[in-house]
Amino acid sequence: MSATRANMFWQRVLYCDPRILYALFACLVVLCEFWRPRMPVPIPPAARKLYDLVERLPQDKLVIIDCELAASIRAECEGQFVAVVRHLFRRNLPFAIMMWTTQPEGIKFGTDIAMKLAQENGKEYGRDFVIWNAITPPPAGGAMLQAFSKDIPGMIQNDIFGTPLAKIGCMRGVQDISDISLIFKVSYVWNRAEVPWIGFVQSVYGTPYAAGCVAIQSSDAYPYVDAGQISGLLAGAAGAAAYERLLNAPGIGTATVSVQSFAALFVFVAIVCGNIAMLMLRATSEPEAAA
Amino acid sequence: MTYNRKRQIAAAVLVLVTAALVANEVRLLVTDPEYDWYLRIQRWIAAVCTMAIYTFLYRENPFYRAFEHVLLGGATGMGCAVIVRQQLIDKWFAPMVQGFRDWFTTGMTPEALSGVLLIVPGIVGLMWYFQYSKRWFWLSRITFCITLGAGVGLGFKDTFNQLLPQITETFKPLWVGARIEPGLSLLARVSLSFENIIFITGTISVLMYFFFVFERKHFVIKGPAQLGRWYLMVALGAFFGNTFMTRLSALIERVHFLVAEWLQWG
Repeated sequence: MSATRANMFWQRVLYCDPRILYALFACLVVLCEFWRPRMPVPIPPAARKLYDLVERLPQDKLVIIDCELAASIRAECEGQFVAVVRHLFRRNLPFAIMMWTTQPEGIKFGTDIAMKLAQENGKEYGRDFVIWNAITPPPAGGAMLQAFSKDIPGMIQNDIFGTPLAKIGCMRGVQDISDISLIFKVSYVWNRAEVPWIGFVQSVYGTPYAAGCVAIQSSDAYPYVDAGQISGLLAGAAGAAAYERLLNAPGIGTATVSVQSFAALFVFVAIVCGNIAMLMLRATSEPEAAA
Repeated sequence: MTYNRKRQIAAAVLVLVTAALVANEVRLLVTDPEYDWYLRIQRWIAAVCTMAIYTFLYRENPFYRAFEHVLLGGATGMGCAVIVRQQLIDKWFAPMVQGFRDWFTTGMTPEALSGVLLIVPGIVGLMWYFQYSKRWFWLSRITFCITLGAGVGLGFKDTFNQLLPQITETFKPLWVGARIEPGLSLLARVSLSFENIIFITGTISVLMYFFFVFERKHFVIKGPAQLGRWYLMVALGAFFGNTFMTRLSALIERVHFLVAEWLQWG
């Protein structure tokens, strides 16, 4: 190949139309839909911590799942939510799903998934779990959480179907935050400014707090895990996959993370090719410039 | 290739794709005994919305823009409805009306009083709107001061409670000796010490990087600051990698929806 032709080739690689890359990328993801690759799933210590914590929880206390599933985070957080709910059902731990109406689709997603899993596991709504009436956090949500910690039935009042909490089996004896064994938040962020669980509940009452968040936010969360403020963390689809592995029940997380690995490999190859092309072009243009 | 020729090819592709989609829908209608029209319409709407947003990858186009505005309009409308329904009506108006009703029927009980007193935050909140009057503008400052004071107080408590345990967590031993971790092997202790050294070096050097009050001429300042910059670059790389993974998951979920739920292939 002559130098000019080689130059042209590397120029084509370097200045390739991104739409071609998008198309190749889309083809790869679609292909993975038909051919499901199985990749090894490592278990991060933060996911293991959450699993161990749930294993140790007492059965006479309630677990709160703060569910803020939205369409934009469903890909990563649905797997986390499903895995934790499955674990709670397996251990016969009563739990309440709590929703904030700033993410209105969370109510539908959370209710649908919990009801479906309850049916699969032979659990009954009201006796084994409850879905609290959705509430809208005010801008300064700390005050709301302070009131919530002292009087849970007074703050929530009804479940999602309008039944007073006093009439719901698993809510009997639940008065304040001392009756809660764990708060698990599934959301885009691990600690939302409007619902500051760490600042107003975990640090004040010592109630264990765990979170499932998207991968983008996980880097921010690790200092809190190290400091013991977050008792367990599921970061992105990888966190969901790790938890599924611990439960020995592969699901959405495992499927997503396998495709993710292949797509990440594609991007890695594209970056390497781009860099080689840049170096090759630089190597050929420098002698020409010197001449 | 001429412009007209390109348009002809695009039209042909569009017709073929539409025909294939219609054929696929007929296949489902014929083969699926539990064909649900309502669910299928929902999925078609979701699929069209998804593909409309993805057309942006080709180039900016009116189809994408229209769906972007639909999304923004829907989200804004939903936000307003949620605030009015869940906050103003459920948490303020309805309990207040109930309080007044109880007051007139059973007298001023503590429950009735707690409902009646809700009129006070209502009035204070409405005072925000005096911002639109030059003469009564000062009244809005009362609300502003209350909001600001409460916000600062709560924010201070939140920040303090969040950050204090992290500050104490940075006090780590550079050498994890047998007295600190008695049950660990030598190798584990070396590894833990190495982790702590990296952690402490990172904390100090990144803090040094953000000291802007004196010039970075002396090596005592310059060296750690440069190291801090490297630490920050590594952290930003991790952020970028995580961002990519999150976006990728969203794409995988959408592709799964299009292939498995909408087209029902595979």
